[in-house]
Amino acid sequence: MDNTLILTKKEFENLINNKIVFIIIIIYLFFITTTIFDYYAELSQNVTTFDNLAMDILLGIWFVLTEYGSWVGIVIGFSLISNERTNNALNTLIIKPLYRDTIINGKFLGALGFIGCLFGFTITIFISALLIVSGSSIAPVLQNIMERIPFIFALSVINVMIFIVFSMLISLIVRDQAFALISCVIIKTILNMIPNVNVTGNIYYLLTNDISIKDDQIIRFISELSPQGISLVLTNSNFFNPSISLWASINSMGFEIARLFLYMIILIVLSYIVFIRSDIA
Amino acid sequence: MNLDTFFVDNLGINFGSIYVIARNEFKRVINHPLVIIIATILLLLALLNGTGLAHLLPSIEKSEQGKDIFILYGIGQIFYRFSDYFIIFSVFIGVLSIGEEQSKKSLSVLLSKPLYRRDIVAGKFLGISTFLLIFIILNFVVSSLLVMVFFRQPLSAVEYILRLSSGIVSLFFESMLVLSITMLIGIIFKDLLIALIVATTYLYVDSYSSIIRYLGDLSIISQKYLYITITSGASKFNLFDTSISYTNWLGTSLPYILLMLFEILAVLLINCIIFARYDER
Repeated sequence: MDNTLILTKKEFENLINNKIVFIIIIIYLFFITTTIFDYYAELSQNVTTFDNLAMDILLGIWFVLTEYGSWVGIVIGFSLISNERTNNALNTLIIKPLYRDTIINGKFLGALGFIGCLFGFTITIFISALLIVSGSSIAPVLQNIMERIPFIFALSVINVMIFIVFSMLISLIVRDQAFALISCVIIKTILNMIPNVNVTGNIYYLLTNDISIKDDQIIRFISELSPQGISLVLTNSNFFNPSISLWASINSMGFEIARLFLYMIILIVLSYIVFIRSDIA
Repeated sequence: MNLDTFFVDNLGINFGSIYVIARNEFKRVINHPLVIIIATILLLLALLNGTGLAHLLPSIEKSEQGKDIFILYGIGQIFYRFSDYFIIFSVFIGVLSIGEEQSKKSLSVLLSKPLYRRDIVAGKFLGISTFLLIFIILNFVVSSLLVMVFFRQPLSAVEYILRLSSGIVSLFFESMLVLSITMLIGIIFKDLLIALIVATTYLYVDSYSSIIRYLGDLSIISQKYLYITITSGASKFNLFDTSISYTNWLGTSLPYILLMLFEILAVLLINCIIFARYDER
């Protein structure tokens, strides 16, 4: 078997057996349960606030995968480096006749496989649970939901891969693993704060020095410096509306999707550089 | 018989050793890199906030006559935007206070000294709390001075000092509550990384998610909920609204402030009891 595949399998198994990852997944499942309960509570009322049920369910899935998933992503990325650093396994691994890029490729693919399985499981659980508790309401829009699911799955994997690679990068740079984890949480908090209208507004006023001009493009550009901002723009658009064709949705949000992808690529390249050039010991 | 001997003989409380531990903890925290990171973020935000509000507040002032916009928006916004960073700081510094010493094995040295374990917990709590109070005061004084520099001075210096100091005390109590809870997490979970994950989840659940609402009327015990209730005068009298009398705010918020103090003492007591039974591994 190819070395990369062997390492991918090893990383995947390590993540499954990791105590910290196990804890965060239990917490993640708890959050999903509360979201499903919210939907059930809303759907069981005679008059719901859902205008477009298929779109609201797709937004719920997107929220669960990206918002809660990003915290899981941080822990996964951190665990990929931290576990081996703590056990000195990374030193053992790099003295093996393997290219360092094979090791990091194995880590990326292992994380990708793990998050893919987790998200596949999440979507299945989410839709199945809603069908069980509110089948009569969901059944008419099920086809609309299923048509968009593969695309939402792929996009949320890219979104969470940003956080996985990002926390891997921090864990590689910062030797104290507790401090690396704290840094990841602080940076995630800042990323969450950037799309806030107060922050983007203040940066905008600082740049333009004129309150009379309000250029939404500039504010949107600042907000989209954070993956959270891109996610916010996507949720506020018609991107999740199944009455608009998938192709039209991708066209309207093409810039945001490309930006999300670009962030992931930049972080992967940075991780390569740091991992290949760093002195692990 | 001096007072110190009286307390040692009759109550078993040794203020001398608590003071020494508190002083050491204060020195440890002040040199922690987390302080530099949080202080830098807060300073940048304060500058951004000051310049942003200088553009925004003059237009608001025209539309809201009879209110001191400097206090309502200038000071109010600082509390709204910056409080989270002190909570994040308290969460991590609380976990690290015991957890870091456990992982570096320096706790064994401390436990081998002729000290009551409750004195260790009390000393650490007091040391960090003192630092937190100074840190909060410095930040809010500097931030409000920046608003003064970029916008204007408050209409009444008395109102400014009264409301700013009340906001600082409310935030300080909230930070102390978070600190005591996360110290407990640090004591219970002997693995530092697991303790950090649990503390981060606590932070997310209490501060950012809406899960706490499932507690119904019991959600009042949440630190975030209490803090918001205190500063908003139970949604009736906003602390920073100068058109509302300060005594009205104080009368409404006092029971909640006392509840918060009671929670702090209760959690601290639990910390002392659990740490007294602490089994060092």
